[in-house]
Amino acid sequence: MSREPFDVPREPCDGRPSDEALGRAARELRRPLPGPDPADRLWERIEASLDAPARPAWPAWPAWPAWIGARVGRRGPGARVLVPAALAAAGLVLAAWLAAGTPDAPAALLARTEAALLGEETATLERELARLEASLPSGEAREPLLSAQIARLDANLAQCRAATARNPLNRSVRRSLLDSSRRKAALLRSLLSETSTDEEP
Amino acid sequence: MGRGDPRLAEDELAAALRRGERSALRRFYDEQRDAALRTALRILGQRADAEDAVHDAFVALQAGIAGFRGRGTLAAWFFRILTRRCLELRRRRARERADTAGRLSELPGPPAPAGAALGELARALDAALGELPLRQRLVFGLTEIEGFRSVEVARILGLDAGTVRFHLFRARRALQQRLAAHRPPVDVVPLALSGEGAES
Repeated sequence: MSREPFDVPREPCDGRPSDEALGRAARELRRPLPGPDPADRLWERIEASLDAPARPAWPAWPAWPAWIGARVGRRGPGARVLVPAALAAAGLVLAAWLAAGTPDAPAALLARTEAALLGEETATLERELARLEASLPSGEAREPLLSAQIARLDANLAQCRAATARNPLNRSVRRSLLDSSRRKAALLRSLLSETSTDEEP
Repeated sequence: MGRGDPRLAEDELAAALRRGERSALRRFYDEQRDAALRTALRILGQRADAEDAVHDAFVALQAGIAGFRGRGTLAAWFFRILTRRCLELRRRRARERADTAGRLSELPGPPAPAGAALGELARALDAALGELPLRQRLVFGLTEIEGFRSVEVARILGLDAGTVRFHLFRARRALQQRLAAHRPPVDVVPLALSGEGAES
């Protein structure tokens, strides 16, 4: 039966096909596609793929590397390899650090450093004071020399304070240096005062 | 899918596919091949791409049949695999086209449908479908051409059933508008050609 071009129900007046006509026309499109025997060719391809020896499967990548990669601006294989590699490297560093000692290892190390510094400073201080005592002239010439020494120590103290402010990570070590320098200055001041007292009539 | 496949037969088919029976896959392939190719072509526009996607979908179906739980029909499950594969391929092709725009623009467009046996409205509909937004085109194609129910289309496309009905409504209205614009209204059929007019 031949179909007339407009042998379909339409909405009145506006020339639009009705839903029913549209549905009928759509069902007409449910037909085999044209082409040179696509079915068998396609089936052969499918069979060939199914019969092909299975390739060694890549491990399924979890979603989190891509998620992290997207947030740090890396996509695709780069993210899948680099993100886990970076995390693994960070993990190794952390493991090595933990293996080096207990979690309070940095604090213990700092304490040891401080103690060594203080011990060294104290010994140095004692040696310097003894040398200073021996080298200082007696009388009026003693006072300006001690004052110059104190001025130099004050300058050192200022430098220590500035270094502490610049590098808060080493604050503890700096503080110990500061303390020892401060004690040195205090000793020198007391020496100066003793000298002054000695000079007093 | 609204093809009247009895549930029992489908369960048997799924079981045979799980056992890896090639004849079962061939039966399913014969049933779904044309609808699959039409749907893929509607998304991808190129016959070769559509065949690639259908090939991949059937291979993926066989490989992943263990994951089919029977919550919907096997056909709907297969079409979900197929549409995902098509959309993935479409995105990749769009990127490639952007990379090599000069060369690909010289390629021929989608193959012309075999319209000789179709009514004029069906031919016009086929052309107008290509002008619809992808989602409307897919919903209309799966519902009206391939015969899936809107609940199944919702499952295939990962949409809400209400959203599917909305897209179907929009697609129908857009197609009706386009088809009216393409064709003269029925009232303009020249009456002078009728027999009574020629007598006088």
